Amino acid sequence: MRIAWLPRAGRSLLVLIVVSALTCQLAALLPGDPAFVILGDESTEAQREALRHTLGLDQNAFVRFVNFMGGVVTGDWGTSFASGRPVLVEILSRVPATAELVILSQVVALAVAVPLALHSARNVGGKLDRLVSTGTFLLLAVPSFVVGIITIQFFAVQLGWLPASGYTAFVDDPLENISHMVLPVLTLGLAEGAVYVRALRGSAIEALRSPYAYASIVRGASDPQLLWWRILRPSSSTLLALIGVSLGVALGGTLLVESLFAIPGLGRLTVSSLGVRDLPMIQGVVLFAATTVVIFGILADIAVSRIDPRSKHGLV
Amino acid sequence: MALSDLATPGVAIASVARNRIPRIGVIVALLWLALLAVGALVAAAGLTADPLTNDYTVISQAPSLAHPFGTDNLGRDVFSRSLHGAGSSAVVALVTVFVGGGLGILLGVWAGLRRGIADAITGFLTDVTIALPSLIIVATVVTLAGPSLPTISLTIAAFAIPVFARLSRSATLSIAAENYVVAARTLGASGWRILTREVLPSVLPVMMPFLMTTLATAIISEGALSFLGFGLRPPEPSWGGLIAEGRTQLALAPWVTLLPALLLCVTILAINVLGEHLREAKR
Repeated sequence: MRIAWLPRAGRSLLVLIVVSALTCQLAALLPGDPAFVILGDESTEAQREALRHTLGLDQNAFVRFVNFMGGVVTGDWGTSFASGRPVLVEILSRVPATAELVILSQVVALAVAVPLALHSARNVGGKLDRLVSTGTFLLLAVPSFVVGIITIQFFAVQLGWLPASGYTAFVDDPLENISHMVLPVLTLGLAEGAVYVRALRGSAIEALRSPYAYASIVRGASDPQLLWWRILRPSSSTLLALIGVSLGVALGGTLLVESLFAIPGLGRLTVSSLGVRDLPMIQGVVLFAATTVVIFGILADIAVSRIDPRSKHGLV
Repeated sequence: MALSDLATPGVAIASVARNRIPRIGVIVALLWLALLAVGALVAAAGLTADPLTNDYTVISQAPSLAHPFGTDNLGRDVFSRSLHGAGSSAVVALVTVFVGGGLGILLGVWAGLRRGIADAITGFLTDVTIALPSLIIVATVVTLAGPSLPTISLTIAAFAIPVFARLSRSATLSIAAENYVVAARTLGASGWRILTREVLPSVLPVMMPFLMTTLATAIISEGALSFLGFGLRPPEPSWGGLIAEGRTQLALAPWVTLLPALLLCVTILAINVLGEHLREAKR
């Protein structure tokens, strides 16, 4: 079955429109008066009235939606209460730190996960396999914020090898940048890696049972040849789909890690915006996050159909 | 990244040909969860030290017989606070499984049996929910609507609905083609009867491992939420909150953070062991 790209794209666009609609009704949908929640009980009625006007809460839901969508399309995502700067500008200025964190942790996760998964799949029940299976199973039980605390305590506080928190842009000081990135990247990458190992190991075991794997073995292919040239590619569709999902939802994970390590990325922006109830900013972040989920979902589909042509013909 | 996997718990641990969980592991996991449940109930009944009372005579004391998990910098009993936190986590986890999982499965089975427009709408709503950043939305709702256990658990539960709708829909599609369902239909059974008597009993066992995964992700989500400061308001104890509170005194009084963290991890591990066991049993 060929993936029908046009309906897929149309559907994604519709998803984003519905997400926008929900986002701009966020304040109105919840119980209580958002103006009161945002400004606190020492505000005057006039101040609250002005805020309701800014948020469009004095208009009906449809007008609010049309105004919001008009803004989204023209690049006017509103103005942050906290900084007074445009929401989109603020979001884009935070992307580099988050992107670096997410990309590096994916690289680390894959660099560790792929060899471990392939080699433990080759010897199911062997020493390496048992170690990897048990290790990842234990790792899955440790939430990232606990991993983060332990790495900070051990590597930064006790051993003093690496800084516990903070961030320097790569262009300002590459070495400083990397040293600040090691612990957060490990924290995120470890959890991702554990999931990836288990997924890839499963598909690799299946691929190794196939006739072509058997043919390759009897013709005397060495383990690395067999695993990296014959097995990796057909086993990677689940992995690719998972990578798509984790890149899409990366923002959720960075919320914790960026707060923990004081990295000025999108996650930290979200947490601080929530802290000061900066509603336009929160709406912007939600919309941005939903867009990344949708985009990486599509990219993962494309990647799967490219790397595994069988999926186009409905063979897997 | 367990947390943001809330929208995709099924994929997270899905794999084939795993190493078997030893029987003793399953027994230990069950015992642990039972013990924790009893502990949480005992604490909820007020039989342990008051989790909110400051006792300045025992500030930051290491674990001892009187205070098994030590005390924090306000002299509060960390063990009692952890048990109360277990109660909150259990409420969130159970609401997520029963409300989120329950509604999701009903929705998925219904969509899978009806097909057509009902199926299309359910599928679309699922797509929308999966695109939403769950942790951010939950934190926003909690911020605007006020932090309370019902708000927190119901919002987390809402994000479990689409996952189960999707999973149970595809399970239903294959079951609806089975002979016994076709036979019931031919005999003139009503749609409701087919749903409750024929399809649900076959779908539920398939969903059990995913329900266990959801139990774990819900606990982690609640922990993350409290850890970020959007959970129950301090000094109300919750696992994530306890772990966050102790962070500043990690070098001085590591037990304040590490023992609740250990409790959290062992509990997640126990749930994962049971989920894994159910997955193996299915095969």
